[in-house]
Amino acid sequence: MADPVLTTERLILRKQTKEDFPAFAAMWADPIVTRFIGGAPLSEEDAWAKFMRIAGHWSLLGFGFWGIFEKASGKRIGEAGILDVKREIAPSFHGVPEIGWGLLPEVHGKGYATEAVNAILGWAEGHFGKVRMVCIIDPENGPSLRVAARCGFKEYARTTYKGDPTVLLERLP
Amino acid sequence: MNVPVIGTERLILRGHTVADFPAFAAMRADPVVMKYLGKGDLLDEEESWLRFQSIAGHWQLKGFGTWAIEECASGAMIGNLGYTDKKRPSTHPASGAPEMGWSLAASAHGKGFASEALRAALGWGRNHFGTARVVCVISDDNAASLRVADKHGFKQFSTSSRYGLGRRVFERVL
Repeated sequence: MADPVLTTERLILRKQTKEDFPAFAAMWADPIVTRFIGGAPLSEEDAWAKFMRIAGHWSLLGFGFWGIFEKASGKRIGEAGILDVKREIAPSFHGVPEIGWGLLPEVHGKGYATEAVNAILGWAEGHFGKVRMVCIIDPENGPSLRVAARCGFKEYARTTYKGDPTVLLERLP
Repeated sequence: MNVPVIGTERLILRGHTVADFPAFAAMRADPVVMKYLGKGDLLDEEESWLRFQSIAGHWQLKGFGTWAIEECASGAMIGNLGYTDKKRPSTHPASGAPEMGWSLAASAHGKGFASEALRAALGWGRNHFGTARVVCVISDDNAASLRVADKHGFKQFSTSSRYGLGRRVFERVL
C-alpha cells in the first residue's frame, strides 16, 4: 500500500516517520494541547506509545492519522486522521470511522483544522465510500465544535467517556 | 516493512495481523497471563487494542519489534515475544538498550515454548543488532520467566519497582 499524501492550499498531510517523533512528543507535552484531548500532558514514554499506535493503526487497517505540515514553514503543526480504536463508549460506534484532529496552539484560529479535515473527508470517501462518520469532542472545546460544524458534523448524543463529558457528532453520507 | 518470519521446531514467529486480535485480547483479559505484566490489571478490548497497535507500529518505526508466536501443530497464536524500545525514562536501569519481553497464553505455559521462541529471537537479534547488549525486566515472583531468562544467559544487574511491584532487571550481550 502506497502511503497516501494529502495536499491542500496551505498544508501537507503525510504519514509520520520516527524523525517526526520529537515534534510529536513536544506537542503532546503541552497542557494547552491536551486540555481537551487526553486530559493530561504525556511523558516521552507515553508519547512514544501513542506514536507507535498511530504507525500500527496504518499498518493493521490501512488508514489512520497523518502528521500535518505547514507548507510555508515546513513545520509539523499537528495531526488529524481517521481511527478505529474500539472505544468503550455508550452509545457505541464500533466499526464507524472516527475522525479526529489536534493542532499546536500557535496555529489555532487560521482555519487549518477545517482545511485538513475537509481533505481527509475527501480521501475517506474514496477509501470507505459514502459512509457515516463520527467524531467525539469535549463540550467546552468551542473551536473544535465549530470545525466539526463547518465540515458537516451534527451532534447526535451526549455521554461521558473515561469520566469526562463528551459530545458525539456524526456526518451522514 | 514486512515483519521477518522465523521458524523453530514447533513454532512460527511472525508479525501480528488483525485476525490475531481476538486471541491477543483474550490473553490480555486472562488473570493468569496478566499476573506479572504491568500493574497486573486485566485489559478491556479498547486497552488491548492500544497495545496491539503499538506492537504493529514499533516494527514500522524501528525495524525490530515483537513477534506473534504461532504454534505449528494447532495454528493458534499462543503468545508474543520480541524486542521493544519503550523509551523508558533515563533513570530506569533498563533504558537505552533493546528490551526483550514475552508472554504466553495460559494453555501454552510449561511446554518450553517461551524458551524455544527466545532462542530464535536471540539468533535473529545477533544478525540485526550485532553484538549488542539487550535487557529484560521480570517480576520478582515470576519464577517461570526468571528460569527462562537464566537459561538464556541473562544476568541480573539491577532492580526496579513500578506500581509498587518489585522487578529484576537483566542483561546479556547478543
